[in-house]
Amino acid sequence: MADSSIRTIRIGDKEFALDEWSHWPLYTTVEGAANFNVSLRGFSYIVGQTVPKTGTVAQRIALISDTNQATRARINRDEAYICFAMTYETFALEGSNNSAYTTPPLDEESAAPMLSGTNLRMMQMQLMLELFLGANINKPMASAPLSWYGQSAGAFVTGSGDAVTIANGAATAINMNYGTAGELSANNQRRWILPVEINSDTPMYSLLSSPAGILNVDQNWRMRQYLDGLKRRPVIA
Amino acid sequence: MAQIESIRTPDGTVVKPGEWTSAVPLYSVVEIGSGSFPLLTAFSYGRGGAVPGSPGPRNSTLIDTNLQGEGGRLPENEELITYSLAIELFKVGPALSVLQFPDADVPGVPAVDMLRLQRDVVVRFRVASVRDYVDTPLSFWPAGTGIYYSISGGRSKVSGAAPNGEIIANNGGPSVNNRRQLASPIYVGPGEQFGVDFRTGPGSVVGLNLALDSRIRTRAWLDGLRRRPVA
Repeated sequence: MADSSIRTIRIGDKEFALDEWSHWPLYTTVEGAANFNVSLRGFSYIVGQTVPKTGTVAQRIALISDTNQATRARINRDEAYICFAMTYETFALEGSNNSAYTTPPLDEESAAPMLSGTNLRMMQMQLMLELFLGANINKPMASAPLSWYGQSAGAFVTGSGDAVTIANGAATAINMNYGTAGELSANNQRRWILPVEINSDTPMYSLLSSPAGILNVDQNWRMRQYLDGLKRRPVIA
Repeated sequence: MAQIESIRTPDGTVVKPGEWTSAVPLYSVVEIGSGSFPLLTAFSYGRGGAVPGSPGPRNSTLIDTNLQGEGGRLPENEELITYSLAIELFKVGPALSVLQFPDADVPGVPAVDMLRLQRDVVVRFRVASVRDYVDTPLSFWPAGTGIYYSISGGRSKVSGAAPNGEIIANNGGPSVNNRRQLASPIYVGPGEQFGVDFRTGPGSVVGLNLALDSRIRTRAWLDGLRRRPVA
């Protein structure tokens, strides 16, 4: 079907040919240990390189579920990006703390990969999430405490009753605590009125940090951050 | 009747809206088990074809897919403009173990398994075999379907008389408005190859608590405008 759709848009003094652009979320993953300082750079690696982490969390190699960056710490030479939102989701790391269930989670704790709502709220209070562009430029293009960013991806959870029971030796009641940063809707992410353009070859990274020191959470955690926007990629002539 | 039967666009092309519908979304099912899998592709089969990943495998019915033909491409007399990709999950069969987390009544997905799927599965929508249009974790594409449950008390069918209860989860909020809209619609032309691939980072969904023949039934939705032949 031939269409009469918009073929170019102008942002500032630049005109963009939409044929070359498509909706392409970029994502990256960082991991942290319970009760540890946080200063982690996202979008700083590609698949096959190491995932940024803090503390005693095991070092591991990035997989396709960790990032889809084509080039580490910058936008690839034949690509560009227009970012109109940032969002994130969290998981507790399995195989650590209470996730092995050899000891059932205590009341008000959560079983990995569920991150407790209390821990997520603590992250909202103590963590900063920022986006930086350019070499040696300290002025962020986005910067706010984590609570400012809505969570548009994640699991919508419903529990039956006050407690549930697992058969770990004797029947044991466990009380779950789980939360998400707002309503789990694709609309639950702030759409920036002024999108951020990331030019080809421009250095970029996100910074997740705890400026006041230790992040007081009792689970090891993983955060996957998303840049939502349009990506320009080469098209076949 | 004053119904609009054709529209002439500024470039002179005539479009007949009667051939287009927004009320017949394309959908296709794959089934994810607890073992490793390299790739499961939705829309790789037409009605009657084998459902990828299913035990057996089983042959598909209309509830699995409404794609006509041999699969893997759009029929020659159809076109598709996709405004939304959505992924819906059901559990079919029991959990392997209830030592660590209570099972959920079918087709509910236990919360920890939903998070494992969201953590490990990456969804790729490709058109014409030469270009990927999205390549993003499953959680980024909310189902926009599901149930706002109200459950009183800590008992479920699967637990029987024992008050084990259940904690179930949905891929995103269950409302239609929770579905994510593509900022740039994706066009699939007549006869063009396309597919929605499900891959995992670690090679499997690590820790997925399913019995041998249990599966996570995964329905991929392509919502938008679809041109089909009219009588």
